Amino acid sequence: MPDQTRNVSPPPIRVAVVGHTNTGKTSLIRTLLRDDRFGDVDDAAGTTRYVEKAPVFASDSEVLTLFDTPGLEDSSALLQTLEQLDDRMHTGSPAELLQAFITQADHFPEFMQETKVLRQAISSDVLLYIIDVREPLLGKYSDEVEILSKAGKPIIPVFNFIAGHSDALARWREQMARFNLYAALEFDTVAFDFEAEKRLYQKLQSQLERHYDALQSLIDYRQEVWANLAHAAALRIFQLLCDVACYRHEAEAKNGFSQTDIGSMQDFVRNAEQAALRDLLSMFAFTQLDIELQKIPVLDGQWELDIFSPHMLRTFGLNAGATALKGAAAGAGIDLMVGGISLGAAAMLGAAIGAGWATLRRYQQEIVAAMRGHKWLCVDDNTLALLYLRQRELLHALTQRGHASRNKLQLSSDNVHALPGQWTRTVNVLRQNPEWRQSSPADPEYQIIQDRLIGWLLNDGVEEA
Amino acid sequence: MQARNRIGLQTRECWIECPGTSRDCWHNQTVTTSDFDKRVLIEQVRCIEAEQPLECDDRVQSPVLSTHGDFEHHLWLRASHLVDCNDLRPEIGRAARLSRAGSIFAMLLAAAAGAAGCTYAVSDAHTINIYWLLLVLLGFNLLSMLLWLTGISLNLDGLIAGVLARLANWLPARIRTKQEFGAPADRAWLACHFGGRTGKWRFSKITHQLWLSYLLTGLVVLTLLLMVRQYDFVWGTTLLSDSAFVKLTSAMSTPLHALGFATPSVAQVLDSQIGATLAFSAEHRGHWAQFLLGSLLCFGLLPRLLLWIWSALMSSASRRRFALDYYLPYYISLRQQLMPLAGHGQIIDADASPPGIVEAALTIPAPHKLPAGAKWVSVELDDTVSWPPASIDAGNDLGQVVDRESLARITQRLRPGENPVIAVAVSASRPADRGVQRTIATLMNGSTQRWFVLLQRPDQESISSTRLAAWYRLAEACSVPADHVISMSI
Repeated sequence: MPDQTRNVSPPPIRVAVVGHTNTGKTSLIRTLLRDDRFGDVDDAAGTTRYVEKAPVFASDSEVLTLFDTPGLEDSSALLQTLEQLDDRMHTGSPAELLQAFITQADHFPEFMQETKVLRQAISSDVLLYIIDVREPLLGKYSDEVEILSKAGKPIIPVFNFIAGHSDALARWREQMARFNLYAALEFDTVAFDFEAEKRLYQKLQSQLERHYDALQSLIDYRQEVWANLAHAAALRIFQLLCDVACYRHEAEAKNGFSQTDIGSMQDFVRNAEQAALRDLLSMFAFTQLDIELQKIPVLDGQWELDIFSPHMLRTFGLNAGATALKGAAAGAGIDLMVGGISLGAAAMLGAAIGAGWATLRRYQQEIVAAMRGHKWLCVDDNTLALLYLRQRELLHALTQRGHASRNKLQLSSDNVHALPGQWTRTVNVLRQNPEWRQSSPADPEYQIIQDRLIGWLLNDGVEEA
Repeated sequence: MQARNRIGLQTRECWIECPGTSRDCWHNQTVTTSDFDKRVLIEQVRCIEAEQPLECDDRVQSPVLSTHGDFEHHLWLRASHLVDCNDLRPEIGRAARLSRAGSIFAMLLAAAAGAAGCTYAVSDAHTINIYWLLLVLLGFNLLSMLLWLTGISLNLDGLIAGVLARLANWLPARIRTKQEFGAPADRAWLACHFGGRTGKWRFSKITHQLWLSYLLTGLVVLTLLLMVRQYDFVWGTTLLSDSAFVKLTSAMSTPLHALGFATPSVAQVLDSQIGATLAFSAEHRGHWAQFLLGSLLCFGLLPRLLLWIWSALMSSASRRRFALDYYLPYYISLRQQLMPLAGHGQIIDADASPPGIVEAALTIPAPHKLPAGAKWVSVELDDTVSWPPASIDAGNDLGQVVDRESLARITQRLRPGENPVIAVAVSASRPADRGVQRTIATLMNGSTQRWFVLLQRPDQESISSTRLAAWYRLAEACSVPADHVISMSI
């Protein structure tokens, strides 16, 4: 099928990612692509020895093409060679000098990698110059900037590995300013921050005026997707908490619960957490290899129906009232069908049946269990609190993990963060509604709890005003 | 971009190849599908896949089905493709077919109830109690309308939906137990059509439709009866005063009069009271009959018709606003597959150098002792290292190479033959690149005894084996024997 959209779309912006070897060029692209399979990353110089491109989309259109390039390893010698070549050839402009060097690349086999970088720099719209701020300020870095500036393309310095290196960062900023490169950016490829990614596109906007709208669409699209992702992840965690809080298992417990019952409950919680973890990792395009999950210690608690709790009374009252009205409506329907001969008696009867049926349906299991002398086994408060805190930590870690990160996430059980103020009340409401497990009812109370928990998760447990 | 018309309808672009055939079977076929129907289909496929993954070709997991359009368009193409691939059209359409049949049956039932109610109220008598008949035909209609209005104003699901809502809630729960594609598809269809705001207005529309049916047949049956039979119209009361009925009739007559219906005068109303001895004239009967039919039309059918139109409009609006829950992991995962944020990498300028030889595991021999009097040069040390360290005689230190100028300066001091022993120190934590290698080779050029020193701070993290191996390879390339590579803690 012909693709008319592509024909009229402006060509994507060509962004070459350049820099010294081992500064994190491939890592930056991995993070932007959310793809930990892009390129090769290793703790050694010259890992990337080719130019690799990858498209970045906003909805259905390709806005950027990123080019990963080999690292510049010997810029001082290269600059000397270029100066000698210039003395010999008297080229008119720096770009012509680079072009002449590329044309004669066969004569400089020792600069095979650098030639690839220069070739890509000349054909790109903008250069992202990646800097490892932990590195000392050396002459070779100045030489790199001097060589790259000959391409005549905007250069945006990107400071990598900035966490805990504020002094070094300040020195590098000063150094770049000497080359009039003020539009620099802090972007840690390991400790990911979406705002930093947004700023990267905004820097591109400032350098590439004619691509402003395309970049804005990219920013908007990525922002929307990111917000959706965070919300979806929080929703998935809420579903996990809801499933676990609503879990209950009827068991004979004259002499306490059996190990089989407790084991079954513990397995349920662990499996539920594993399933949620799989979903979360998949959402953020990570794999099980990225995380190490310690077994959550699940304790046995006893589920008791607090029938006289204020919440339950209120809920029950509302349910009974609403059902009575439903019954009345049904009764009115019956009255109608018999031509009104029953004079509304069916309406009254319907109301009574409706309320009675609702009561029986809601508490039938509890009544039967009580008659059998059984009790309900459920997950205790501490386990639930722990689960919440672990998931909150996980969400926080996933939203701040770059796809270049090579260290495994560690999720521990010794979480010391405080629980939100209304935690106990919220959990109690969940516990009192076992029917909410594995389903999303249209109950307004459920929606309130869901919104509240998602708010806590997204705002790091801070109570909303 | 996909073309949309004003009413949210879209022509399906049917270009994907049918399974099992070699032709593009939909090429010339256009199917008009509303956005709502597309979303319902997507939800049906989601529910089916939640219970049992649907198998098809690889295109359903990648963006190749369409190269343009928004996420929903991609989802719809995928869902359509999956449905056709698995021959699921009958299962997908089952709930809609059942719903249509159910609607027709309910309408017929309401119509029968209207006719029966009217016939029963009139019975075989020649005298009709006018207000009793109006109560039967309009009283419960009014009560139901009030209940509905209360429900809509207070947003009470139960009042709005009544019996139908209970049925819709009950049905999916029963369907849930069946293990087949049709069951989840039916459940999704019901949830989309009868759940939330869409369901509220759909229920409202159906309710008004049923009442319209009831009233219309009542009106028709009553008209027929009035045409072929002669009735006397009376009214009576035990508790209320006579003037109450006169006023009520007068109030009800006002709009009827405006609509062109003849209505009974005050005298005629008083003459119709049970117990009055006057004989009814044809005009008298005619006025009451028109009053009765006009009341049914004006106070029964017309408000219901207006409410039905309103509900139909609101139902249509809520369908347009119906949105898929993109926060579900299912959609998040599909977005990544169908509309990835980025594409896969593609090498465009490959490495032409010969493949590297796989290095044998690094074995570090015991280093020899560095001879006294060696000349020291450091290369590109990191900022945390202060040079020279106290253990080195300042007279033997030639300085640090940090750029081209410092390299030239130090190289000049290293005259061939004058410095037979040279030790070059580097920060072990930094990468060993080609530039450093060239620098070190230049510095060691005139030396007969070459030493290589890896500096490391005690508080530093241990150096990775990859990086350490790179330094040893560099030393080898600079003709430094492995036992001349020493580590120094500073």
